[in-house]
Amino acid sequence: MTPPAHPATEKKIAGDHNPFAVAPFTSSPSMPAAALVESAPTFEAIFRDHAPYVWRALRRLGVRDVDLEDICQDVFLVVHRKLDTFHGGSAIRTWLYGICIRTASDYRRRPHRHRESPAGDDLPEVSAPADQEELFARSQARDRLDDALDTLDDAKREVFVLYEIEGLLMPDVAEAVGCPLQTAYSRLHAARKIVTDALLRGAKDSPSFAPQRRGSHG
Amino acid sequence: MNPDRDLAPLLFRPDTPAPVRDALATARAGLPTSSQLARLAARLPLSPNGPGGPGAPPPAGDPGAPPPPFNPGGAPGTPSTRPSVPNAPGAPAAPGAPQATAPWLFPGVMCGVAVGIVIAGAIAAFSPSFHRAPSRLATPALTAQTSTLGSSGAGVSVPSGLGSSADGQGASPGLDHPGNEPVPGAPAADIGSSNGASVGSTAPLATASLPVASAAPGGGRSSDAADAAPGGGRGPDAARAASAGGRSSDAAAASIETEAALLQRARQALVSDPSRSLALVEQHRRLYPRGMLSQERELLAVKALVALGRADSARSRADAFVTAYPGSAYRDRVESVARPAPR
Repeated sequence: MTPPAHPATEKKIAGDHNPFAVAPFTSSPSMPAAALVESAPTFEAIFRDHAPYVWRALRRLGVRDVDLEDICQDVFLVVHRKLDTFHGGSAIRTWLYGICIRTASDYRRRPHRHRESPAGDDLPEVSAPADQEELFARSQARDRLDDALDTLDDAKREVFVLYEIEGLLMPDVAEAVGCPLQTAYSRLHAARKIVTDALLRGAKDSPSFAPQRRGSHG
Repeated sequence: MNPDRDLAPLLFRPDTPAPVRDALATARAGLPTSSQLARLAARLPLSPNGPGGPGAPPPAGDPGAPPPPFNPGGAPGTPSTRPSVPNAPGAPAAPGAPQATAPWLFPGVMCGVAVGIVIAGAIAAFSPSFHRAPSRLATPALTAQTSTLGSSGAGVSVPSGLGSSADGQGASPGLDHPGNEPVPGAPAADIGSSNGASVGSTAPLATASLPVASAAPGGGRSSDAADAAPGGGRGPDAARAASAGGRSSDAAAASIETEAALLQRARQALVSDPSRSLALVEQHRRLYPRGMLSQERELLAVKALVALGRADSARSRADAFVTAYPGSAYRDRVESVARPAPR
């Protein structure tokens, strides 16, 4: 991959190709600039709008299922404590992911990092019954991705997760992980190669991998 | 090599191998369930009624109709509701609160506070509804104030509750809690010694989750948090605190724990009795118009309507959801439930 030469075009280019990129909190065209600081999000609004993303990001950043609730709680308690220091200088999502990165990094360094799973309160979703085969395939794909992500070092993993799964723009990714933009691109490029190779290798080794293909790819 | 194409996420690049694309797609779909979010919400210092706060207007409209539009990010121009988490750790104390002043600089104020302590202590002694500490977070405030004022004893806990009243009024709902139920857990001195600097409120809204509000003095989970309620005991602890307050206050009654439990019942009824599930969902909407689990509620409502064969209602409700929460993580799920793809 050849990173674009002109940094000024980075955001636009990245944004054009990131269909699920979420607009930053401060980007509302109808909101006057003076109102941005005043209308800083409340803790409740942040939780309601971002908790699922925080949960997902932490999971892909290496937090195990049994620890997710604890680590999510840690993230939001940090948010609660530091919300007064957030003045809209960056998107709220970028700020949140920065906290996720640091919290997950601390978590991964812990020698012992899981607690007892709460019993009896993890009720399964009771939505329309899904195709069991598809569920199994999804589970396998997710496990395989986690295995691939585990082969990455922390720096590459963070960039890969934020860009490829969470849909952040590259400048925001660089800000969240705290590295120069070009460094973020380099990490993404390297992480993509490692993850792709690992997933292809895993798919080849496992003949049961047969998720439903979309469209004509099947 | 085309740099523009190279920058596209792997999920949307045509040359991405199928296993990679599938893995990324499933990872993106790996969002928490509503019960997981409910448990998490119960462990956080969230306002029971969401950004609208306890004073939020009740919902209008009849049950079954799409919910009124709601601005997840908060309406621009409206005053920030951040004080709905009064005396957030690190935040300045509420105006009018005794601890907001500097007693060593203002002896008169200090005397006034001392008189208040005595009066409040007398009220507490004669009032059967005095509740010593609605939650564990009350104790750090108590300890902090004890060290500041040089007082001691249970009487100090009363101005602690009074002082935490965000609006500076003399009566904190926390004082209305009936009974003298001691909150299980470590002694106040243990908590106050470690976390006293970062907390300072016994606000009613926090009764649902105060046991964990003092749990993160650093970036990671503290041992205090783990010790506060081992084995997942924090939820029941919070529920007990919430229920203690809920007997006398509508705001306290609207606890996160109850909100989650109500939705959980709705979820459990979804398959066996979708009409009951829908009724529970509507009950949730009436009780918690701006609840923390509003999005999960709407997802459940759409599922229930689909299960009842009311596809049109499901679609209109899904549309209302998308309008109200355009950036929701549940948007795809709501839309796919309301408009299942033809097989």
